[in-house]
Amino acid sequence: MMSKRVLGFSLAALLFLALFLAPSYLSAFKLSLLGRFLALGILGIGISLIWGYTGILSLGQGLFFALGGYAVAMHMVLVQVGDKLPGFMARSFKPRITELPWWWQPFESPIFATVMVFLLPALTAVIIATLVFWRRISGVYFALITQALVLAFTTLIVSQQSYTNGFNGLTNFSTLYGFNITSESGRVGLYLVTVVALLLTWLLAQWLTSTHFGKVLVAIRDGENRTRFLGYNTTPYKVAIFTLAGVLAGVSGAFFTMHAGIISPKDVGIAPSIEMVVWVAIGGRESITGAVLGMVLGNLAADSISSQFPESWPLMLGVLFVIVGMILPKGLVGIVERFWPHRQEEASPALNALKSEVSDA
Amino acid sequence: MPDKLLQIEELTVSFDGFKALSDVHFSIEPLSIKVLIGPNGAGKSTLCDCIIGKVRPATGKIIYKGKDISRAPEYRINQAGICRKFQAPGVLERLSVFDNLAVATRQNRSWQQNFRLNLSKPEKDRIEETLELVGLEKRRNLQASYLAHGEKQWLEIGMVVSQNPDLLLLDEPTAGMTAQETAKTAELIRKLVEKHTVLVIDHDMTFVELLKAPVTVLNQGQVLKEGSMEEVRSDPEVISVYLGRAHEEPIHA
Amino acid sequence: MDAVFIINQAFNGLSLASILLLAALGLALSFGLMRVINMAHGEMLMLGGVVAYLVQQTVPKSVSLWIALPVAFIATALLGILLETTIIRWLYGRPLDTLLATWGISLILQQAVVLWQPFGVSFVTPGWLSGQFSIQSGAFAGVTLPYVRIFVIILSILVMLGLASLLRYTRIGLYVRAVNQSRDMASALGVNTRMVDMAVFALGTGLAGLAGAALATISPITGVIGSSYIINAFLVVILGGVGSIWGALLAAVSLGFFTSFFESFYSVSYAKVIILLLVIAFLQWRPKGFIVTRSRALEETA
Repeated sequence: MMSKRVLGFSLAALLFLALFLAPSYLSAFKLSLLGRFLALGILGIGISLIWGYTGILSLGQGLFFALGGYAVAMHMVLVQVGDKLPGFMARSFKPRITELPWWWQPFESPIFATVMVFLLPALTAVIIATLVFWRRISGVYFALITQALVLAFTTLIVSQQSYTNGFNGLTNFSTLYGFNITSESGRVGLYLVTVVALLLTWLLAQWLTSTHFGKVLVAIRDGENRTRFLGYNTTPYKVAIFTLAGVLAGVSGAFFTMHAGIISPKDVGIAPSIEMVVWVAIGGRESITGAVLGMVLGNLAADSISSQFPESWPLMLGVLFVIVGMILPKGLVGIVERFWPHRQEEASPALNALKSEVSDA
Repeated sequence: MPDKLLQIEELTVSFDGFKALSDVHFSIEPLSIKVLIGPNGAGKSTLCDCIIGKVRPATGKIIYKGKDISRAPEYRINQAGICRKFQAPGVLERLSVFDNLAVATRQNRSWQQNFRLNLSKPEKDRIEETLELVGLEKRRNLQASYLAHGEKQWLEIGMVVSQNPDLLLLDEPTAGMTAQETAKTAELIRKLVEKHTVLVIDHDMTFVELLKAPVTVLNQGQVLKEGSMEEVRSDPEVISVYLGRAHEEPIHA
Repeated sequence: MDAVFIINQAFNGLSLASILLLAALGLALSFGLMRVINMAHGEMLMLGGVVAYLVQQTVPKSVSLWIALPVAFIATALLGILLETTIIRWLYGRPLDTLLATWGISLILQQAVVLWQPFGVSFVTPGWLSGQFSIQSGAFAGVTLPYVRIFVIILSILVMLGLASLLRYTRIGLYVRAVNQSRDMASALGVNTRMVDMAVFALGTGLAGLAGAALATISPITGVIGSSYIINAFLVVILGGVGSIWGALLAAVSLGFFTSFFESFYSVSYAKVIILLLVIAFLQWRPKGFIVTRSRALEETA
């Protein structure tokens, strides 16, 4: 048991070391791509916490991702245009916008935008989770409701062309807190900050899952009713972890937007929301590190394959979904565990022998 | 009338028109054992479900320590000191044996105050005590899903006992146990009654006899008879109920 | 707001409700009985439309609709059997994995049809169905009711009645209700629950195919048309209450009317958001939907 944990930690330490050194061996383009997917890794940790640990499947993480991404994009767009209206607003005609809408105005402040990256997803998540979990709507119902929320949200963004630039999303920005994140040094800096954020999230998740709180989460996944009959009001636990996952998705969206230079409905809709879940599943939903690996490697692979075979890529993705659902519920981490010599199940013949000794005695 | 720990009045439960329980009266005195028997479908489990808040009654009251709990949420009922061991072992499969007990033992159930790694000293002691009581010391780090069926039963009894409940509901605690283990369990339950009030549901008559406790017979959702085991067994009505189903539930002489 | 406006909106709502109901009935059946989330249900609908189109290419136009409806039903039902035996069956008791796997199937089917016909296919509405019933003069001048929509409304009523009597009066219906009440007990009484599951799943996908063929008379069928119906269909099932086709009817009618009226006052996108918020608000009040089936078997699995 102990050695497995130590090995896991050393492996993770090596991986993070390699990530910190990446600017020295990756081209600027690849570094930016990696940074974008590392940002998604933060969201992946959130999915692992709510799905792998607590058993809540959300197909709506794109919503929180969008809130974080749009918050930072709105600020950066405003920095870029200075005193003028953003281009799409100036060109807007239905409704015609002549001055910055009130809810855009506070985003001129970088601090406000940064706070919103955390606050908007947190508030949204608290409200949704409280309403839904309070009435004990869970499992499949919850998944479907979150999916419907994403649909409603993206429809809203697309339809409000004048305020959100609709389907095209927000883009053409480069400056945050006075730094030009599109310059060469700016890109490296942004990349390193992303890795630090991922590391901090990873540590937070490791700590959280080892507390008593984390144990109760697993208890909820194994048997929520059982946990209630043991005297736990499971609702606040679920609200808390869902909110944390929402905030992580928001932060992830903010970093993603900075790396990609754009945020648009197609990055946050139903399909990307469900794809995020699948990459986590492929990595291994029950493992924090597995979730990050699945998210990063999966997206890297998807990026190169989908550009090479744009037509058959959705077919491959579909087959992948089926395979994960049917035979890989624990993901790649599950495969690794299967061949890990100290796994409990493999030790069970010996334990059975021990057991019969005990009961005979 | 002596103070009752639990008093059930006019309890009626219906599932889509079918009355699982109708007008049931029932009570338990503190620090006593009571046994609930009856043929399959008599409503024994439903009565338990009502007490712990799993099923909501249509009418009637469940008064526990002077308060009606028939509408309280499950976790409050549990926190008020009622614990149930389910018929099917309900251990938390993916947690280790120790963590199962930790989840059950932990006194503070609020989420904001559970971000600590370590249990308090008394909690730890209590877990060790329980591990010893149910004989699972050597399995403490094993994931619960790898336990044998009997061990899961014991772990669950441990989880329930470690919460130090005032009222303990044991739903067929000897299901799947050998005669030897059954006798041991009866002994354990008689020991438990020093500190807890125990309600046992079972239809293994040898086991019920070992408990030497008053018996309530349920049939078709109604209380058919209350009394000692001898009285109940010689009651013609009870006999006819059981004889009618003799092939299912033979009464052991 | 005058009478004509109200009549037109009400008709719109009814038409929307009938399509929602057709799309959701199959889902209500399989979700209710097996707790299986079939995310590829929308694609069954789409394939039903495609089958209708293919039928029209091979038989005379005048009778094509009457042949297309049963053929679409049978074809998608057979596909349902294939899906159930190769994939769904192996995922019972793992609803979230089922959701992912069936989503994968839906992606595959979508992309296959998109690659085959990037712009979709169009079913030519037979002459007797094109045109509309309209009132030109009098107090109700301006009321317009397209014949195709009337046709779909009638079809959905017939399907509903047919399904209800199937469940009520036939042996398979009895088995379905028995399994719905208690899977173990039905199994112990000699009901082959595996077969019942398969039959119900096939019936569900068949109904979706039928719905798709009907939909083809109203709009062109594209590879991705299913995805625009699936979420609303699920909302109908959730709102109606698991395992209740009458609940689904009630939910489809309310969703249809609400959507129709909200869309006439606000934009389509606001209407979507409002509807969703209403659904969530409704679930606060009745978390288990309109019609709640209370039984011990359901309590255990819920």
